[in-house]
Amino acid sequence: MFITMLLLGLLYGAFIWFALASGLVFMLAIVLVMVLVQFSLSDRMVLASMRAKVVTPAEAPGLHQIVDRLVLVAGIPKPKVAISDLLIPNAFATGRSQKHAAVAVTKGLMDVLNEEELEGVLAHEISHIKTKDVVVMTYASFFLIVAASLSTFLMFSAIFGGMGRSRNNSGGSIILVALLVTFVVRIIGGMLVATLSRYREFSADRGAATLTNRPMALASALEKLQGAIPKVPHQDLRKAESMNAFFIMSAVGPGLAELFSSHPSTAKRIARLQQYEQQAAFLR
Amino acid sequence: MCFFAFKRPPSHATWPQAMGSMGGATERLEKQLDTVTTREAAVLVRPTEEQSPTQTRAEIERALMGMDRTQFRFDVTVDDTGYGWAIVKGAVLGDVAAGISQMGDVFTASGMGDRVMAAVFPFMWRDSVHQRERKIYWLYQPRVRGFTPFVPDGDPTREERDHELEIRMETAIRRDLPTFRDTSEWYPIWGMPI
Repeated sequence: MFITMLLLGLLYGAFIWFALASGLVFMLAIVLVMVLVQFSLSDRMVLASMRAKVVTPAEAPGLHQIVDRLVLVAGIPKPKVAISDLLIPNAFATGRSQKHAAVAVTKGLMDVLNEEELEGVLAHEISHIKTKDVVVMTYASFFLIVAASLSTFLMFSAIFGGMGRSRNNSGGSIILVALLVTFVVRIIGGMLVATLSRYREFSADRGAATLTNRPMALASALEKLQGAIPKVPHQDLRKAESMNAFFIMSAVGPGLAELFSSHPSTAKRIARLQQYEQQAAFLR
Repeated sequence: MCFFAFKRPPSHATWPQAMGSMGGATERLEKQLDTVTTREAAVLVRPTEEQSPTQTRAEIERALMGMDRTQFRFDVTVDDTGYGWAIVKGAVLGDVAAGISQMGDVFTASGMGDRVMAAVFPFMWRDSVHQRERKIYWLYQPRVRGFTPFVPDGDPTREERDHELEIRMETAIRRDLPTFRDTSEWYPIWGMPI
C-alpha cells in the first residue's frame, strides 16, 4: 500500500509541476475550488444521489441497534444512519470526517440479508469510517478528479478557443500536450487509486471480521450480493440424479478490468474472510 | 525443507479415503467444533426404474447380508420418494464411518455401486447464540468425490437452509475432511430418515 501511495504522490507531483510550468494555474485554481466545495458537501451529496434519508432510532430501531453495538466496539462517534429506497442491494459510508460520517443501506439490502449478514456489512462500512477511508480515498482521488475536470476544460478550450485556426498557434500545441498529460494521469492514477481502494476494501473486511468476530456472516452477505446463493442448489439430490456426470470448474482468471476495479473480486474477499474465520475460530 | 508442514487432505477422495478421513476427524468435529455424532450414518441408494419400495428394501438387505454385524447394527428403510437408506449405527464415529466404508465395498460388489448417491453423516451442534440444538449433515457424494455440508433451517416443511453456517462448517473442517468447495454441488436432501 505504501508503494501505491508513493507512486500516486510522484504522479500527482509531476502533474502539478506540469500544470504550473505550462501556465494552466488559473484553470487549476478554479478546478481545485470546485473539488474542495464538492468535498465539503460530500456526505449530503452522496446521500442525496443515493436517495438515502437519515432515519431516527424510532424509525429504524433494528438498524440503529446494530450500529450502536458496532460503534461501541469500534470506539468511534456514532455516524448518521440512513436508508435508501433503492431496491439494488448495497451499503455505503460517506463523510469527510468521523464526526460528519453517515452510513447507509438500501431497502434492497435489508430485504435480502438476515440480521447477522446485515451486521457484517454495516461493520465493513463502520471500519471504513474508523480508518478514515473516505478521507484517504478522497485525497488519493483528488488530483484524479482535478485531471478529469482539467481535461474537460481543455477540450472546451480546444473546440471553442480556435485551436488549429492558425499554423503558428503555440497555444494549440500546449493544449494538445496538456490533454495528453491529463489523459496519462487519469489512466495511471486510476489504476493506482483502484489498487489503493482494493487494499482498503480488504482492510475493511478484516475490520468487520474483528468487530463482529463473525467473518462468515460477511462472506455469506457477499455471496448473496454476488448472486451466489441461487448457485447453492435448492433441488433435492434425489431429484437431481440426471445431473451431468462431469462438471467443469471455471478457469477464467481475472481480466484487465480488475486493474481498474475499486473492489477486489468477491471470491478473493471470501477467501480472505475464510482465513479470518479460521483465526477467529480459535478465539471463540 | 519446511519447519512446519500443514496437513492437507486431498481435494478429491475415493469412498474408502473419505470414510477414513471422517473417522479420523472425530476429535476436530466433536471436541473443537462441538458437533456431536448421532452415532449413525446412512448410504442413500437410488432404486432402479422398475423397482417397488419393497423390492428396493429387499435388494439392499440382500447386499448387506454378508457384512459383519458384530461391530455395527444395520437398518434398512425406504423413503417417500422410493430411495433406499442403509443405516449404520455404532458406538463412536470411527465405527460408523468404518461401517459406511464397508457398505460401499458391498454395494460395489453387488453391482449397485453406480446407484449409490451419497453417504450421510448427521451431527448435533449446540447453537449457543440461539440456545438450541441444531442438526447438521455432512454428505459425501461419490460423483464429486467430496463432502458437502447441509444445514436445514427452521421449519422443515419450508425447506430452508442455513447457508452461513454451511460456509462456516466447510471452512472449519476443510483441513481435516476432503470437502468439495464449489457451492453449486451442495445439494440438500430433505426429509432424511436419520
